[in-house]
Amino acid sequence: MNDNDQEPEHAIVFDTLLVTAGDDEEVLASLKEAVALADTHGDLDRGMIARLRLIRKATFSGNHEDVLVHFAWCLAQCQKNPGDNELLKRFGSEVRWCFKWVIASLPKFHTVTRAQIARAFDDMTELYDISGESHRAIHSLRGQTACIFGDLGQIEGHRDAWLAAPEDGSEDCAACEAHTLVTLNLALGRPADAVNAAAGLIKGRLRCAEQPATTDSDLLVPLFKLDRADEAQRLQQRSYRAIRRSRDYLKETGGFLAFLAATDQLSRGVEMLQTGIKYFIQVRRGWDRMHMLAGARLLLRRLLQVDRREVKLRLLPEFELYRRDNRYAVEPLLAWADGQFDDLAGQFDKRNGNTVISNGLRGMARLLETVRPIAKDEATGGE
Amino acid sequence: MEHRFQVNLRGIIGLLANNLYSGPSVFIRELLQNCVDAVHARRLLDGFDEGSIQFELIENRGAAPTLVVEDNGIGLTEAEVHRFLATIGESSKRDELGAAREDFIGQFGIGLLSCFMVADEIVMLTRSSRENGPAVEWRGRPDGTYSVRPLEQSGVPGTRVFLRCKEGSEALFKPARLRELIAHYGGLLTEPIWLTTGGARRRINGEPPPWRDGPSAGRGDLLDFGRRVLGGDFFDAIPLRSEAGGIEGAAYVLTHSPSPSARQKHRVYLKNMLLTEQAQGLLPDWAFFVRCVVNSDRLRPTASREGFFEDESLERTREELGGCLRSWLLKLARSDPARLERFIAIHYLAIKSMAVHDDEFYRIFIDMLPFETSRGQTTMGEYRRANLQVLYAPTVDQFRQIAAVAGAQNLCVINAGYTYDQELLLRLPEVFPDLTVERIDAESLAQSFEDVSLEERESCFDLMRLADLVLQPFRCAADVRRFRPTELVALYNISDDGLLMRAARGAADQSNENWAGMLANALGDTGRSIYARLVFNFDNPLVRRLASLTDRKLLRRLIELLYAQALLAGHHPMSMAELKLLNQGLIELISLAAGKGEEP
Repeated sequence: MNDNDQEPEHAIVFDTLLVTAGDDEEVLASLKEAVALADTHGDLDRGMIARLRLIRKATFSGNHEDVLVHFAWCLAQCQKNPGDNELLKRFGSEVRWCFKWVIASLPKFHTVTRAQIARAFDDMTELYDISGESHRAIHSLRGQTACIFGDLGQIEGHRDAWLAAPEDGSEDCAACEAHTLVTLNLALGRPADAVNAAAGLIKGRLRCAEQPATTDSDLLVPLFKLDRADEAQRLQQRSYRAIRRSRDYLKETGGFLAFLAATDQLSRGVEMLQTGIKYFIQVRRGWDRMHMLAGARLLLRRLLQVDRREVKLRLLPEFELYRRDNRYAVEPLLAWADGQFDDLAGQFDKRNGNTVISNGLRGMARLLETVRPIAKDEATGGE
Repeated sequence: MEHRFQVNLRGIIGLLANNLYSGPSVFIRELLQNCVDAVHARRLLDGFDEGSIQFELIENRGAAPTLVVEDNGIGLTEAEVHRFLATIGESSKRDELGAAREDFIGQFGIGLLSCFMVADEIVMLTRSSRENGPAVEWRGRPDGTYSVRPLEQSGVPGTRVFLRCKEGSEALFKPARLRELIAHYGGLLTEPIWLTTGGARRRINGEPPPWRDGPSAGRGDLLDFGRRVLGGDFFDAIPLRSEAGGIEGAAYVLTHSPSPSARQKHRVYLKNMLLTEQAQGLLPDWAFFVRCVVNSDRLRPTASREGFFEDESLERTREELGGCLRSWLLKLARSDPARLERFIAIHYLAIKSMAVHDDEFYRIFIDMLPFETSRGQTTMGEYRRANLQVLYAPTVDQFRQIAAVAGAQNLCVINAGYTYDQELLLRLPEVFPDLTVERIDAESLAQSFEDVSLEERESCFDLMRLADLVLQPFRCAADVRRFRPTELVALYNISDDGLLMRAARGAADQSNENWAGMLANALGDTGRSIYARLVFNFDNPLVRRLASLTDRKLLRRLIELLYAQALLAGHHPMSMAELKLLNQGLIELISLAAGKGEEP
C-alpha cells in the first residue's frame, strides 16, 4: 500500500456521520455535516456519497428544498467532462434514480417555471441516453408533470409512451407505477379506472416506502363519490397512522381531511388537522401545502356547519395563529386556510396558464352538500 | 363465444413458492394447519376432544423417503373431496360446518398446493366423521390431474396425507429437520403432535408457553421463553393480553436503543400456530422498544401473513397492548426507580414519543427524561433545579451555533431539534406553572449580547460600514457587541433558511444556468431577505485595533479574513468565492509580512 491508498484523516469522522442513527432530523443533520466535512476537504467522492444519502433521506422525510440543493450539486459534478467523468461512471446509476424524485418534485414548486422544468427533462434524457437506459421512467414522469400542469390533453400520449417503453429495471417499482396510473386516471376524470388501476395496492399485493399510503389518500374522495365509502373507510383506517408519521405526507393529509369531513368523522378529522398544520409549517413546497389546505377548508367548514366554533389543537409557536392555551376558534382558522389556499392556487394557475388544478380542488367543496356519516359497521371495518 | 383460461398448475405452484411462501419448508405449516382445522371442526361438530396429529417418516433404503401426516379430525366425504381439492382457492373452511371462517387458521384454500414444492404426488386418504360412508383416496399431481376412488375399508374418521420426497427436497425429509420444523410451526399447539422416525415416537409440543399458566406467569419463565424463541437476552419481559385481538403473550424489552423509525418485527401465532416472525403494526408506534411473542385467536392475517387487516379490531388491540406496556412502565416508576432509570437511559425516545400525547405519562416521566444542552446531557429534573427559565434552540443547526457561545454567556440552552423535544418543552408550563419556556436562535442570542456604548459604537462605525460593504456579496451583515469568550474575535451566525441558501449558492456555483435558476426560484420565497451576521466582539482588543485602522485596503482584507475564519470556526463549508477570498487574503498578508523583513 502506498501513501495514496491510505484513507484521509477525515474518513473516520465521515463514516461515523454517515451511519448515525436516530430520527429523521438527527440523521439529516449528520448527513449535512458529512457533506460539509467532505466539501471542506474538497473530497468529491465523499461529497457525492453523503449527498446521495441525504437526498434519499430528505425525499422521504419531506425536506424537498434540501433535495433540490444537493441534487443540483450532484448533477453538476456528473455533467462535467462529458465522456470521461469518473463520478458519473461510479455514481451515475444512483444519480439517475434520484433524478426521478427530483423531476417529480420540481413542478410541485409553483415558482419553478415550465421552461425550467422542460430543460431539466432534457438533462435527464441526456443522462439516460448516456447510460442507454429505457425512457420508461421519463415518459411516466412527463405524464405526472402534465397532471400537475393541468395539461390534460397531453396525459394520454405520455401514458401510452410510458406503458410501451421497455422495462429494464430503471423504471419505478411496481407499486409506484400503479400509483402513477391512478394519478393519471384521476387527472383525466376517470375515478373508476383509477380504482381499478389501484387493485394491487388496495389489496396489499403491491407496496413500497410510500405506497399504499399515498394512493390510499388519493382514492378516499373518488371512492366516496363513487358511493363506495365503505371501501374508502378501510383505506382510511389502513393508512391513517402512516400519514401522521411523516411530514412527507403533507399533501396526503388533504385527502384524509376531505374524506373525514365528508363522512362526519370530526374527531379524527381534527386530529389530522393538527398533523396537517404541523407539517404545513415545516414543508414549504406549494403543491403539498395547497392540497392540505384544500382538505382543511372542508373540515373547518364542516365544523362550522355542525356549529362547532372552537377546537383544541396542540401546535407549535411557528404557526402564525399559535395560541398557548391550545384553543382555536374555527372561523379565524378557516379564514387563514382560505387565504393561504387562494394565494397558492392563484400562483399555480399563473404558472400553469390554466385553472384546471384550482378548479378541481375548489370543486371539492361540493362534498359538503352530500355529507354521509360513516355507518358503524363500516367504521369497524373488515377485510 | 366465451373461452376458459388454461391455468398451468406448475406455474401457479412456482408463483406461490416464490412469492407467497417464504420457502418449501412451509409445507409443514400448511399440513399442520389443515390437521388443526380438521380437529377443530370435529370438536365443534360432535364435541370430540381427543384430537391429535401424527407425523411419520418412512425411510426406505435406496428409495425416496415418505412422510405420512395424519389427523383424527372431521375428514372429507367423496363429494367434498371433489369440491375442495379440485378448485384452487376453495377452502373447506369457508362458511361451512356452521362455524365462522375466523375459527380456522387456514382461510385461503391453497395450503395443500404447497406440498407440491416437495413431492411429485400427494396421496390423501380421508374419511368423514359426519357420514358413515367409505374412506376416500385422492391422488393429485402437479399437472393439475387427480383421481378419486372410494376404498373398501372404512377406517376411523380423519385424514392421512402421504408425500414421497421429490428429488432436491431430501434435506426436508431428514428426522432432525422435520422435528425442528414441526416444533417451529406447531410448538404451541394444544393438540398433541407426535413424530415417529426410525420406529421411535416422540411428542413434539410438550412445553406450553408460560402465559398459558394465566396471569401468574413468572418473569423468569417469560424471559426463558423469550430467550428460547427469539434468541438473545432482554431487559425485561412484560405479559401482554388483549381482549379485542384475543391475544396472550409477552413483550420483550430490548437491551439496546433501536431507531424510532425501525418497526419491530414480532413473532405471532394464530390459534397457537406460528403465523409469522415478521409481523408489524401490532403495537402503537411508540412501542418500538419491544419485540413480542403473542398468540391471537381473533386477528385476521393478510395473505402475505406479515401483517393484519387494519380495522377497528386491530386498533383496539393496539390500544390494549399499548395499555399493558404503559401499566408496566407506571409500575416500574412506582416500584423500582433505579431500574426505571436504566430503562430510560436506553429507551428515552420511546418514553418521549408517548409523553407528548399522554398527560399522565408526561407528569410522571418528564423530569427523568434526558435532553442535550449546551452544558452536556442532563435530565429535565436537573435542568429545572438549576434554571428558572427553559431556553431551547428549535433546530439542530441552531443549537450547534448557539452551543459554542451559550456557555460563556452563562446560558444553558436545550437542543430541541430532535423529534418530540420541542413539543415536550412547550408543555412544561402546564405542569410547572412557574417555569417559562423561551425559544432562542443564533441570531437572537447574538442580539442579546451586551450593547456597546454610543461612543464605542461610533468608534466602530467605519469598520462596520466597510464590513457591510465587503460582506454584502456573501449576504452577510456586520454588528458589534460585547460578549464572552473575549478570545472570540467575531461570531458568524445564520438562520436555518440562511444555511439552506448558503448550500444552494454553493450548488448553484457548480450548476448550469437552468439549475441555478431553478434553485433560486424554488427557494426564492425563503431566500430573498436572508442575511447572515458577523458579530464583532468589542471586548476583544483586536476588534478595537481594527476600528482604529485607517488603511482601508488592509482593513478590507482583514475583514475578509475574519469572515473566513468565523466560517471555519463554525464548520461552515466555504463556497468557491469564499475560498478565493481566504487564499488571496493569506497571500497578501504573507507578502505584506515578507515585505517588512530584510531582503536576502
